[in-house]
Order: sequence, then structure tokens, then C-alpha cells
Amino acid sequence: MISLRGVSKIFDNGFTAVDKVSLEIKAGELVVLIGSSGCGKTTTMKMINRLIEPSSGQILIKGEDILKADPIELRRNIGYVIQEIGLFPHMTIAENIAVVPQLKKWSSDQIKKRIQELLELMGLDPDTTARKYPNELSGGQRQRIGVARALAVDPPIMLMDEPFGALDPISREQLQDEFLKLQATVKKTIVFVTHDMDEAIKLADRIVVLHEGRVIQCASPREILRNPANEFVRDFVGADHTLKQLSLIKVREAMQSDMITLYADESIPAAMAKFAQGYRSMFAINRQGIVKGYVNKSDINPLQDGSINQYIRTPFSTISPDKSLKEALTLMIQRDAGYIAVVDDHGTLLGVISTNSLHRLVGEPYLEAEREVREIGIL
Amino acid sequence: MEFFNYFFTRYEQIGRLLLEHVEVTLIAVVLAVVIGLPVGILITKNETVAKIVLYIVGIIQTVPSIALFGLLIPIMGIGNKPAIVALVLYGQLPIIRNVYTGIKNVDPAMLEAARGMGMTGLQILWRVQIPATFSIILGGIRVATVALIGIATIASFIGAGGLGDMIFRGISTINFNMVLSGAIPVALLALGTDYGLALLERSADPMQKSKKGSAHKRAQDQGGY
Repeated sequence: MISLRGVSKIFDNGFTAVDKVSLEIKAGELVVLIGSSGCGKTTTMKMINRLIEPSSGQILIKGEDILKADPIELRRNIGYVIQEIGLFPHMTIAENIAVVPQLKKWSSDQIKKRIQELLELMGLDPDTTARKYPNELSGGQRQRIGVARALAVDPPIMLMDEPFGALDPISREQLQDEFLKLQATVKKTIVFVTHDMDEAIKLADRIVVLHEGRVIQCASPREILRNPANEFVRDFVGADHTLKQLSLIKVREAMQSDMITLYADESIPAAMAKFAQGYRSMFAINRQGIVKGYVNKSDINPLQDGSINQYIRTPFSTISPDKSLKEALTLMIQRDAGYIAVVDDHGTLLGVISTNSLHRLVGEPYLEAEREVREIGIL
Repeated sequence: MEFFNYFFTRYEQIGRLLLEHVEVTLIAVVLAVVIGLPVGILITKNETVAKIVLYIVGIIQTVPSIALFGLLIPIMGIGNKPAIVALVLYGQLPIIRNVYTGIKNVDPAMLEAARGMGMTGLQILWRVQIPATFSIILGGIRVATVALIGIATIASFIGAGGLGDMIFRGISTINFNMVLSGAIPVALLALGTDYGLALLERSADPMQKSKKGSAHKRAQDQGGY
């Protein structure tokens, strides 16, 4: 979709902002350019809509050299969102969104329909919002309008320059989540600039780390966290890269589903036989697979009659398989639990997340051999 | 009491002079805007030219009006033509300066967004820069208009007519009723114009735009966008 081939930018004062950057961006891909200030990330992005002209190299969009295209027409077909949003204060929200469609000479009916559509897409009430002026909206709402305006003519490509940078952390998280959902439906090719690694990890299909105008590493968020290319990337990722990795992995991927469980109506000898394999505790389920609680081996009196039902302990922690491991770990710390039951919406036990499973995924390999503790039905 | 008698027996004359006064001022303001607006816009393109132009209109402003009228008599004679030329010159500083600073101070983020969306230079000027600074431009026009109402009073010295006629004739004949009959309407004219234009200016301020007031009505008239 977008190819940068040996693109450089040397400013008039001799400063080399971008130094022979080559990059292939696929259609529908969300690529995040990241680096500290002055690394050339914004310059690289602005060369794609020719707000900055490259000094050398080639930029192709769908195989066509953009330096041969009309820059005005080029920009009208590329959505553009900036940190300061740049909404026009003298225009209503509807007028702001209508700017590019009007430049492209859409009919007023078409524009009206599109405004309605976009405001709904952004989760704003079209009837009340359309007539407001930008200064009547909150920062988060304004940024949503900024995105809506960039989407107005449904451009295949979007350039976003720290679009959530000026928001408070809560609105930022919220807008990032909404943005990911939006991207899943609109599937734009997006070049996104940020200096916030957490944001990059959360949003990116691919992260491009830039330093002094050069590409240092270009890889998936997981790859960047696992194998930073050098000290610089390692530092940039931060000392908490292991924790950051957890936010990228879904509970579903990490849970262990081959654990041994007890039935709530199982007899005590049968249960003791299962514990004899070396476990300290197990989850108890009913015959439909719904988890009822857990049983500790030490609680059981082997001489007692009846089922193990009497030994089932509650409450216990559960998590949905679609949550991230970061959320699972947070829950473990909060509840002081060594393991959490992974259950679906009906309460059916799907698997277990334990500190062991976290280690297995993100821990250093040599630690694994030392983990001999047998937990909740998992070896 | 004596003043009111004087005033009402001469209201026709006073009314005629008031109209003359308004006419001279209005022609001068319109011409001053027609010249000042493009000059103010053009000088935003070049810092050096801007400095020179602002310096020149600054100098014009410091020349006492009576002296400027005197300078224009040998060239243009007397009457309201030299008066209007002088008034246009005096109107330049507030208009050019406000247009220039207004456009120069448009939020750079807005300009970047406009450029990034594919507006041409002219579209940015007409659809972003001028509307966004409209209240500042109006502010310059207001200051110029009020100043010109005052200066037009002195212009009656060179035969421009207007309420200045009454004031000067009253002074030379030591007729204070006559002085006041010119001075009070001129003062009210200046104050009223200032107030009216200030209201207009506030309604054009993008930061004041909200559901209330004319901005909202305008949005409704346009059917929502």
C-alpha cells in the first residue's frame, strides 16, 4: 500500500531528520512510528502526504510515485489527525467534518448523510452534536471529531500524529480502545506516530523504532518486547517489558486446559486417588462442567463418608478467556491467588491461569526448571 | 433650558450636519477597509515588508491631523475630498495591524490541519484564517471608525462639513450652546458606534460561539452544517 524506498530528509539548516528509511506498509496494517523527540518519526509521516517534501528517495502509494502526484489531491485522499486536533473554532462540528467532502464537491445530501453516519460511528448523538461548536465539547469528544473529520471521505490511508497525546490517561485509554474497535471495522492503512511505548504496544500491528532518523527495529509488538534489537530499543521499551508483554497475551492463549478436575459429587476415595498424583488442590465442577469451587487436599478427611461436596471452598477468582494476562496477574495480586479459573459466560471451566503459566510464557527459560511446585491440578 | 431651546430650534441643521459627518466617516472607513484588508493580508507573506508597512502607517498616525489636512490643501484644495483622503490614511494603522496580527496568530495546528486536509492557500485564507480572525479584524475596524468620527470633526476646518462646523463656529463666536449642539451629537455618535461594533465583534469571536446567540441561529438556518 505504502512503500518508502531510501527516503531521506535533510532540512535547509543541514539537519538530517530522516536518513534512508525504507518501509513497506501493507493494506489494512496499523504501523506505529516510535522514538524520542527529534528521531524523525513525524517527519517520516509528513512526507507521506507531502506536508514535508523528501530530499531523496521514493514514496509509492499503491505503486504510484506520490512526488509526481498533485499534493492537494493527494492530501484530500489521506486522512490526517494531529495531536492538537486543529478543529476550526468558527465552524460547527458538522461544518468541520464537512470540510474535505466539500473540497471534493460532494452534494449536500451526501455530506449530511455522511456526517450522521460518522457521528454515530464515534458514539456521539448526531442531532445534538452536529450543531455544536468545538469549544462546547470535551477534549475526548473533540478528538473523536478529529478522527471523524479525517474519515469523512473514507480515505484508505490515515496519518495520525500523537492523536491521543493531549488527553488525560483515562480518556486516552478509552479512546484507544474505541479506536481499536473502529479500526477492526474500517481496516484503514494507518501510520501512527507516538512516543508512548504502551500506546504503541496496544495499538500496533507493527512497531517501527526510529533513532536519529534511522530505523532501528521494525517488528511486531511481541517481537520488540521479546527480542529488542539493541540496548537502545531495550531502554526504550523500559525495564517493565515483561509486564508489557503480559498485556499483549490473551488468557485464552496462556491458560492450561489439560488440568485434572474433581466432580462435586465424586466420592472421597476417588478424589484422594486423583490427589495422589501429587496435587495440592483441584477445581470442582458439576456434571455440566460449571465450576463450583476448589478443594484443598489438606482439608479432606479420608475416613469420612459421602462426596467431596462438603469440602468445596468458595469464593474463588475467575476470569474470561478474552482478558489479557496483565488483567489476570492484577487479579492474582489483588486476591492473593496463585491461580485463577478461566470460565466462559456460563461459568463453564475452560482452564486455569497460574503463576506457572505466566512464567512459562514470558519468564526466562532457566527459571522454569526450578518451578517444581505442584499446583491446582497442573503439573 | 436655554440649550434645549437652541438645540430644538436648529435640529434640522444639526441633523443635516450629522448626516454629513456620518457620510464622510463612512466613505473613509469603507475605503480604509478596502485598502487595509488586502494590505494586511499580503504583508503576512513577508516579514520585512510587514515591518516596513507597519512602520509607515505608524508614522502617518503620529502626524497631527490638523497638520496632515494642511499638507493636503496644496495638493487637493479644500472640501471633503482631502478630508476623506486624510481619514483613510488615519484608518490604516488599526486595520492593517489587526488584520496582520490576527492572521499571524491563527493557531498553527489549525493551519496544519487545513493543509493536511488538502486545502489550497487561498482556501486556507478564506475558509480558515479570515473567519477565525474575523473578530480581531472587526476590532480594528471599530477602533478606526471611532477615531475617524473624531478626526472628521477637525476636518470641517478644511471644508469637509459635519458637526465640526457647529463646534468651530460656536468657539469663534463664543456661543456655547452652539458648541454643545455639535459636541454632544458627535460624542453620542462615537459612543454608539463603538458599542454597536463591539457587540458585532463579540458575536464573531469563535471562542464565544455556543448554542446561545446568533451563531446558533445561523447554524440552524443552514440546516445543521
